[in-house]
Amino acid sequence: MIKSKKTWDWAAGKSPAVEEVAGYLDQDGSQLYYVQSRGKGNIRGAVLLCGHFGRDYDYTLVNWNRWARHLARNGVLAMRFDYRGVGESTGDFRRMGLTQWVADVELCSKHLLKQAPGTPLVLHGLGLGALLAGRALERGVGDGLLMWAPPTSAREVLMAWLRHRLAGEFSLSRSAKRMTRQQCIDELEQGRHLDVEGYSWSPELWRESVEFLPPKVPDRRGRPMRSVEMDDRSGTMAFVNPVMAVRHVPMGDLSPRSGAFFQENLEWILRAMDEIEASHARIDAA
Amino acid sequence: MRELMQLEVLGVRLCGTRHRESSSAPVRRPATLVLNFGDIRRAGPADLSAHLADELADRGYPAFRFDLPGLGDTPGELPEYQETYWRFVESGGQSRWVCGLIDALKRRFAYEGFVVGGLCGGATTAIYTAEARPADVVGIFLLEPSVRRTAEVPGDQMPGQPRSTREVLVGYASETVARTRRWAESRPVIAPALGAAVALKRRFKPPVSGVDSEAPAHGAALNEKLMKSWSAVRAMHVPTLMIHAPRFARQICDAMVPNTCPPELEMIELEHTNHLLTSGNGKSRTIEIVSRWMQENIPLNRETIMDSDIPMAANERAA
Repeated sequence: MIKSKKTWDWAAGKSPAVEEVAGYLDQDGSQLYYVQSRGKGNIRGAVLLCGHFGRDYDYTLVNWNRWARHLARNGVLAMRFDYRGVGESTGDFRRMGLTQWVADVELCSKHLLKQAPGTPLVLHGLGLGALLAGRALERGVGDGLLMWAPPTSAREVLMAWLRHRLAGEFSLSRSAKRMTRQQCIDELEQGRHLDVEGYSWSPELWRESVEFLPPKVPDRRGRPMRSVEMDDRSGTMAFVNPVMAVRHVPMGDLSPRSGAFFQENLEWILRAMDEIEASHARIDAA
Repeated sequence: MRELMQLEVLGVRLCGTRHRESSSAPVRRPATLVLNFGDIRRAGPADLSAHLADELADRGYPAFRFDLPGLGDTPGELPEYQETYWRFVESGGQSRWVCGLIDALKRRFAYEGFVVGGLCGGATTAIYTAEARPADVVGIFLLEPSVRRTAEVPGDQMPGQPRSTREVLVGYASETVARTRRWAESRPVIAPALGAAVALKRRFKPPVSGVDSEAPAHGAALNEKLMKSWSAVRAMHVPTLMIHAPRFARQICDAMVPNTCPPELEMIELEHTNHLLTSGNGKSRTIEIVSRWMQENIPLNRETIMDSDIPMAANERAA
């Protein structure tokens, strides 16, 4: 046996340049779970990471956390969180909808700004999180917006998971009671909850979803915005570099090589923060 | 009620959640460790682990969920491909972390043993842990246990693990091919020709899929190491609950319970649900079954004991 030349510090498992703090915020009696990642040295600004919807978040979490740590190592205070009713946050998912989750984005933004007062705040969303971050920006929260893989609407995301449910049911035994697509939609539109891959969707979530669209670009207040399309043909929302060709891998990458992609987006964020500070300085001078 | 905590295990600070039991009566009670399901974070798919732990705590069983290194919120490096991580889990790689967790929890609390369980990879790790810690593990629950051995991804490896000479050479060759290909794909003249060549190759030789989920669970695809560990756990008569979806029921039964079902093993097939137990109301049915099984097989010792008998619990209260 010979030792590989690659010597990750697996046993230590720590990234000494990044300090992470997890906690709960109180949101209407529920515990909203968050994790802040902070590097050593001065903070250039803050980024609030608004993750994807439901189980999509699980599949993207490994790289999402790596991205947060990459930001932290480069002078950005990064915060990611679980929406109410999901993951480590408490709350009843059946009572949740997009409006509640936008409120979660706003609460986390306020908390983040207290940790880094006077610095620019960029909202960053992935998938459905991009629409939630965009809605919060339209309501006056944050100084800039970065969107990865924004859908055309929240309804598009829900329809994709509805297809997932239907496909899953078709692979079960023939005696299983299967609903058609229209029956599923009728359940929601007639005011009933629908179980979709372990989550009970409320009729409110369904109804709101058609109204949640990406924000208008450019922003009417001139705040920096960027939208990055990503390829999810691997089926697991693996991050791929949009400049280079897509690699199709059997089951999707667990820990894909995203260094160049992260760096490109980090540079955009830092430039955006410079623009924001310059804009604030102009306003203060005026 | 959920509380966040961190425990240092083998030099790594693992991030976790403690679900405090609802009763404050000083009884001796076992704790439950709900393990990561493969490479999924500690909440589990559709938050199955989180809700299961909540339910167990409501019924008086303290429960813990920790992210193992690289998963969820715990820092750590992971291999590039899922299959490589799955092979790591299938060979018992997560078990030493779980044993370390048990030691850390024993130092901090005074629990009467541990019930360990999880889904798929979590079930695999529970079996290995039960074999390694017979004095500590008082029960295991296995959700959708997998008896197959995932195919290897050439050139990928678990970080920090030593490799054989052959593995290193294959790794260098794969890395060189991959780098050359990435370079070629970025060249406007070469990329189309490369794409055509790849399409031609795929026509005659389909790409290797990571797992042939329809292959029978015997022969080369069977996880022999896990089967040995399972036999050892059966010989210890550890109370075991097994819940599985219909799809691989035959494979699981043939491999794990070929003859009559021993009395300490309860097997339940959940109809109309998938591997992650997320469809067909699988989540709520699983939570109900596991909670009921715990109350029937892992009783809380109702003997009330004096505070002085629980020095570690007193320290915890002071902390």
